[in-house]
Amino acid sequence: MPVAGKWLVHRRAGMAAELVAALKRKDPIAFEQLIAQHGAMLYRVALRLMGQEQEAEDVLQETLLTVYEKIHTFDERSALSTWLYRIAVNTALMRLRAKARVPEELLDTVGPQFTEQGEHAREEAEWTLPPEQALLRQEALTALQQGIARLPELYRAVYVLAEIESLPHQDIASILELTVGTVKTRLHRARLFLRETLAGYFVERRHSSA
Amino acid sequence: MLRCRDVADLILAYLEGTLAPGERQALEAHIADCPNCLRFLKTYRETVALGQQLREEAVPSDVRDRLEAFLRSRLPRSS
Repeated sequence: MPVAGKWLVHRRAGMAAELVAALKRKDPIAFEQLIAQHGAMLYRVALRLMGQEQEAEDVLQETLLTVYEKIHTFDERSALSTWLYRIAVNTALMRLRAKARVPEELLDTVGPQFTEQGEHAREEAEWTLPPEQALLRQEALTALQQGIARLPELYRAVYVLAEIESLPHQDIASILELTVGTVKTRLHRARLFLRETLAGYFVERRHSSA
Repeated sequence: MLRCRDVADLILAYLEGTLAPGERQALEAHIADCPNCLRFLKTYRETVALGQQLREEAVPSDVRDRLEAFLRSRLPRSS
């Protein structure tokens, strides 16, 4: 790494350490700084896990309170962001578990069907839309978001952290207390489920525009 | 020789670039000859790409204002 790059890494690490120290002193400005630096990622995670803006905001508030109460337990061996993700995800999962749960068995048979010989049992559909159809792409994103809200909670958490937050599998495993292998399996199954959700949308659009 | 079921099982590792060279070549050779697996790969990739478009969610300004007001009301201020 060039010298300037190393300097930047050290400076960022120093700034992160200063923020943690200020948080541990219960400096109110530090908590506002926390929102400024990490609010977007916490909001994305809360929104995608809860599927609803008011509940996402409730999760954020509870997360901030937990950070205030537990910051003295943060041992700084992991990144602050990893610790914050863990609190936000656990807060959201506890709320989700108090509501009706989406059964995990929903994903047991997701994905293409195969013959005994391991070949595709059905023809896979094509579903590419012309790129200029931006409105249809936005509709596809809405369909995707609705699909995410139907994922079982633990699959949803893995998917949000991996696909939307683009965290490494090892970090997700640490946050959710899973093995890396389980993270990969759940991500793959979540993608297969969402692919089937989207297939329904794309194939219907293709037929209606024919 | 890979079967279609094997391709589906390996697709995540393939897209992450973590397959051993021999496995990657075998997968690509299978896909080159299998229209079903090619469509599966394309639709799996499109699913991944769409999910990644959800990365740009900012905190709405009114949510941020309420969070800061919440902090001020709930956390003791230093004297």
